Amino acid sequence: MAQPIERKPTEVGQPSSSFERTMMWLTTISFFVILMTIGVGTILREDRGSSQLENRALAQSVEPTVQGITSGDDMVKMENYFTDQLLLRGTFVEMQAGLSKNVLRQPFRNGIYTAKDGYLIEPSQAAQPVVPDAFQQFTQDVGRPVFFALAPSKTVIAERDGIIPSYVASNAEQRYETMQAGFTKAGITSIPLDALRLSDYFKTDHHWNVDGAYQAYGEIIRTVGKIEPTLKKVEVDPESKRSSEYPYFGSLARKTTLAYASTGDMIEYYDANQFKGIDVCYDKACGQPLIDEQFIKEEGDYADRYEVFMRGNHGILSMTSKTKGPKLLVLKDSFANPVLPFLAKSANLEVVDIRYVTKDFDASEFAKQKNVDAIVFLHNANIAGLMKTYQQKL
Amino acid sequence: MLFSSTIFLFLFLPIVLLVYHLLPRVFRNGWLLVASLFFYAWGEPKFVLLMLTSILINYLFALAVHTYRTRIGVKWIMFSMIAVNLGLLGWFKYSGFFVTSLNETFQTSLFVPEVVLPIGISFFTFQAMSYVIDVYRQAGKVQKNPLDLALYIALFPQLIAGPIVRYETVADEINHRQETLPEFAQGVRRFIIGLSKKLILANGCGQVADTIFNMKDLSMGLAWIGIIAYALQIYFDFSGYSDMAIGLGLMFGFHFLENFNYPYISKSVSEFWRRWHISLGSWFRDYVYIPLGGNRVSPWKQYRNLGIVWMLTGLWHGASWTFVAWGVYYGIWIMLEKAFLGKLLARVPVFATVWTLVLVLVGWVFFRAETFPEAITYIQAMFVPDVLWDDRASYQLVQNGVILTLACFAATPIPKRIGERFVESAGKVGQTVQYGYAMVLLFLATSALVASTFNPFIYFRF
Repeated sequence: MAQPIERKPTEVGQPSSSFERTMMWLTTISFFVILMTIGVGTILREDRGSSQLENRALAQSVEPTVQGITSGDDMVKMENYFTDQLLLRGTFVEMQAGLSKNVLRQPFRNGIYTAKDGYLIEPSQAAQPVVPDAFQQFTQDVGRPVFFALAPSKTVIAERDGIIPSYVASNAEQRYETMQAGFTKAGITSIPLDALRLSDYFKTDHHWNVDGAYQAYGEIIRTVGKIEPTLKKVEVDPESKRSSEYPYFGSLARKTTLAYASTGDMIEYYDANQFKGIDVCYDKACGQPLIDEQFIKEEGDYADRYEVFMRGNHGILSMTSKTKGPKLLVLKDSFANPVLPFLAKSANLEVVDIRYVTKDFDASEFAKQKNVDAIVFLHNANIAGLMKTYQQKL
Repeated sequence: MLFSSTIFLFLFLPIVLLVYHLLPRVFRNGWLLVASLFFYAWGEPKFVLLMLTSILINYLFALAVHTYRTRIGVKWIMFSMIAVNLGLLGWFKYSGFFVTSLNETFQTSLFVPEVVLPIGISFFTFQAMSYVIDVYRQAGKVQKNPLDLALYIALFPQLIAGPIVRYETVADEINHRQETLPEFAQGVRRFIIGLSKKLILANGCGQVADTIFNMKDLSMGLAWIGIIAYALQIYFDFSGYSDMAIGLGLMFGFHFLENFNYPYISKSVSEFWRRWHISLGSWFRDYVYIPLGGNRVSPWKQYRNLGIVWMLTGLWHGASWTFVAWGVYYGIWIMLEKAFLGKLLARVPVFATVWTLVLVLVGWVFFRAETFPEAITYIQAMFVPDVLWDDRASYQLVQNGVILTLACFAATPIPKRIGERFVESAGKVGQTVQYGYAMVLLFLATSALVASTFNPFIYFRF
């Protein structure tokens, strides 16, 4: 039998000098003060409802119940609440990211790779997507031309450009091609967006920037215009392009934190006067702003400045003007938001974000009811998760 | 409640310490007991009753042993004590495993009880048994006050993850201990080091290990990175927890024995077990191996005793045949070392260190794997792989190479020796750096703790 060596912790003698004693006091007091400050500070501080950094609602205080206590569930909730509301939470998260980057030299943070030029890329290795039969059925039922503008995701372009390290498996491009082939097979006309470059995307966010959106607008006009001749491109004044005063740190920067996204982006948009005469209606109200600069001016590193376009996502939205262009139904997600202002200069739009409509929504019926001339799907390549929703609502 | 939780670190601990040191001495044990029961109840409210029952039963057993020490019947009291304690442990920890094994062996379909495992039951049961046995052996005095016994068993620093504090170690300190500034400061430093081990090194290595153990078709490189990461994770996790327990003990005036002593530099498996989870090894040695006859019996019986002890050691770690195999695996190597291998290894110390490390790593595969086929497949990837190296191994090396290297270095005594020499030789500068080092570690550990709960909601990827 092995004979364990039993020993007490290193004996601690009395301090040999007043300086040593002072350091002992300092250690003791610092320990207390740091722990107590964070603990008491967390309790005394007013609870926060949400976190800009984490882009989510934070846990709120718990009213204990006998059942909750005996099961232990209330303790778990209390821990979540205390941790979510912890004083300096964001600072500690940033500190840890700084340690990962600068000391542990980790090129990836929460699955995001930081390329040399500051682009944050999220490699992914997912199963090949399947385009549901509902798309083909929809194309046949709706009786109108159907188009799909499927933008390559930033990861697809990064794969093409060889930015992702060779040792990281990522099949975004393969999945993108599978998806495109699936839509073509369903009888949907593809709007080619392969000319997009990495510079057309934000460095710290998964969306494209206004230049990428404008390029996509041109391609939509070119492709849809072949069937709808009244659809014409309306130029915007390059001089009216505005830029955010504060840097923009997007969704990928939220995952890595600023340690990995030191440069940030400048979000650009065109002045609202470029879109005069377009009436935006959603949530049973018209006259809604198409460009809302309050999101540009909002303070905070992680303010969602992308909401400058129509204040973000809405289930159903219409954009009408005196344009002589056709009436289009746009089925989209947030990727489409910076494109819509341009498109609304050329056509009247009924816009549906399939994620935010009611359960019984039927896209085919909606298209007929609104008497649209054509339908345009506008997404980026990462829509495998939406396929089930489309299956139900097309 | 876990030491590595925000609610422990920023609420429970400072409040308990502050009130404890403000209270007159006469109330301190009471406060510590209340705090310990609250600590246990936080995670397992209903099992507080189980622990209190265990305490009461063993309190009565010890009184009976003390009273009837000279009677023949005392052996029956001891037998009953062991049966009751092992019965409790057996029901809560092993009943499901036992019935499942019966069903699989004899093709029966007996009802498998679904029993929730009370956290820390292996530790507090062994401590309670240690108390009664020490009273029986007169290695520690009997506690007349049940609250003092409850404090010994429920004392929160070592309640749920050890070290197993034997009664004789702290018997005197339950009622007669002195808290001093040097020991408190030492306790703070020790606690912070343990917290950092757990949150920075163990969790960092754990992510690597978890990722690799969840993969299939491992290359040789990936399999070795995975098992090294796991070996580092389990060492820093467990030794970090022991450091925190020892540090907390010092803050309250208790002196717990060391539980780890750089096990990965061992030159034999026997030495490894003198350096790994020392409190468990010494518990089995003193309460199982020696009572079975120890080394004072025939060689055959010595090997039999070793077999029993190591099978029980494996079983103690978990209710699974892979744990039993893990224990038996060590038992076999220790028997071989006792027979002849030990002498051979002593002649080649460098080889012996590498050899021992490889044996320990192979042992960890059984410890980590959930089934035998899984373990065998993993060991095949380590030694007879289809592929030597792949991109996944490159990724793990690039992404986690620094933390794995740091952890390997920290698992040796070198950093501690350098630190101690520096503090000794650099005088005031050394003491200032020691203070600053502890505070920086506290912030880094806190940041790691908070970051582990970081949960950005990125809806969509659209």
